[in-house]
Amino acid sequence: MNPQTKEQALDLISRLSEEFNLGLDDIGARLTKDAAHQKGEKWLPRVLGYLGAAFIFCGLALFISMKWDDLNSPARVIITYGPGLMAFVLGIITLKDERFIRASTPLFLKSALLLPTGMFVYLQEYAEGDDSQLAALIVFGLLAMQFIATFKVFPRTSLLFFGFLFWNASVGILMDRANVPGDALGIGLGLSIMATAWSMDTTVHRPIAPFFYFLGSVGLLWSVFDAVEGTPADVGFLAAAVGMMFLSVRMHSRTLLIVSTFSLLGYLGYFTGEYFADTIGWPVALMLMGFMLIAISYWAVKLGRQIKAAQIHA
Amino acid sequence: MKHFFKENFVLVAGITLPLALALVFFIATRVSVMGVEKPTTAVIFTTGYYQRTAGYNFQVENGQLTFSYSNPAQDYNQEKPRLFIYEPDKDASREIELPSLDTKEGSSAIIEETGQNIDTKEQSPDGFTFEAAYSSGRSNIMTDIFGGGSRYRDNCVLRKGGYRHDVPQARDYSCRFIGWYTE
Repeated sequence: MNPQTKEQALDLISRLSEEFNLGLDDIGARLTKDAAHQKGEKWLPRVLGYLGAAFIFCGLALFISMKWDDLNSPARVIITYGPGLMAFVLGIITLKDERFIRASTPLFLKSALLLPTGMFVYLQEYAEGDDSQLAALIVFGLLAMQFIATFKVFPRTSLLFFGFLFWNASVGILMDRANVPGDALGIGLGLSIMATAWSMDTTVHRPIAPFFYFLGSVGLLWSVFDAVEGTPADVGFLAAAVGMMFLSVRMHSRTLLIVSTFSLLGYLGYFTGEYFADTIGWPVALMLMGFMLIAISYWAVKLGRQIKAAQIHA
Repeated sequence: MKHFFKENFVLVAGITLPLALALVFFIATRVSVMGVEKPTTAVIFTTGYYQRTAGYNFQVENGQLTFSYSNPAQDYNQEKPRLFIYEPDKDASREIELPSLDTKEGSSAIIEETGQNIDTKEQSPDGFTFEAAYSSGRSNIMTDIFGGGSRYRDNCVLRKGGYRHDVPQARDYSCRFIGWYTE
């Protein structure tokens, strides 16, 4: 029976995948291969298109910088904020037409670069005071609201990506202004980014989850290390890194596995250098570290296989 | 709503964690400075001043402030610093105009406006110190990316224990304390 509706098509795919033991990766790989084959001959116009867009953007930036001193305040705001706003509006318009929907991501990218620039220029030209951090809080807070509110109406991944980046920028500044110490800020924000990325990972927006896993985990482990470095509690970092390794399996994330593995290797280097350098045990410690590195890399590969297997069966 | 929170517990926890941390530290900071009196003594400070052996210099002797330019032979290409007086009762910083000095031969001039009323003790009569506000602890990759440049937020403040009082016009990494203005 040929499926007539989307639901029926999904049912058929589900039945076939069970029958032939196909995972998401197998289906995704085939779809990507087919898409790549179909688009193989279209790569040149696409590359030229991107190059053209980059030239236009560079030309605009160069023109603005050349004429900057001759422009008055309203002109400076209009020439920076204006193209950003137009790109954002055009991005939304393209979402309403299936033919141009792929143009929305570069347009939102352009608006994400130009809108904050224009807003900072506005504050520089018209606002009084010398608190640049407060200016950044206002700009990133407003942009987070703008992108996330638009995402609620048009659930595009690119809108969520930029909205979440702006959200983190504004929350980070808010925490700093609330006198949260640097280490606690890093740990809190790192955990927050990882938790949100975990939630993204279970939705259609999962392509951006690895980027936020990477950002959150690097920030978290870096901050934990800063907090314990040179104190008797520095062995606690080992627990954090190993914990992150186990979490990578639970989250089915190889990004987390890579970050935690490298952090563990780096920590072992720090630990041996801190406690065994310039002693007779240093060469022995180096050899021990070598064995540990081999063991960790073997373990990481094993965990990576488990994650892949879990992703296939998901 | 309850169902939403149950279904999206990780997301809700992730979003609220940094906000809760900010709220806790904000309240803790407020509580720790409750009951501290605001500063009353005016302070004189400078920006764009690097306390080098050559170029522009400030000296305070017997409560009198002198502005000088020395060692011109070293051909220092140094910008002229700026001098401010912060008056807590007005909560405003006013710039004191510095005299023009001979940067070829070297010269000095007394700042008449401040008279002989400058006290260079580290602590003001009402118990405040003038210092850079490195209150956010050490910076790290997260504060550098998302902290809005807290590492460089080294504006000078009047501090008494945990209480910080922002000084206008002192949001500059080169701000330096000259003395308390005790009229």
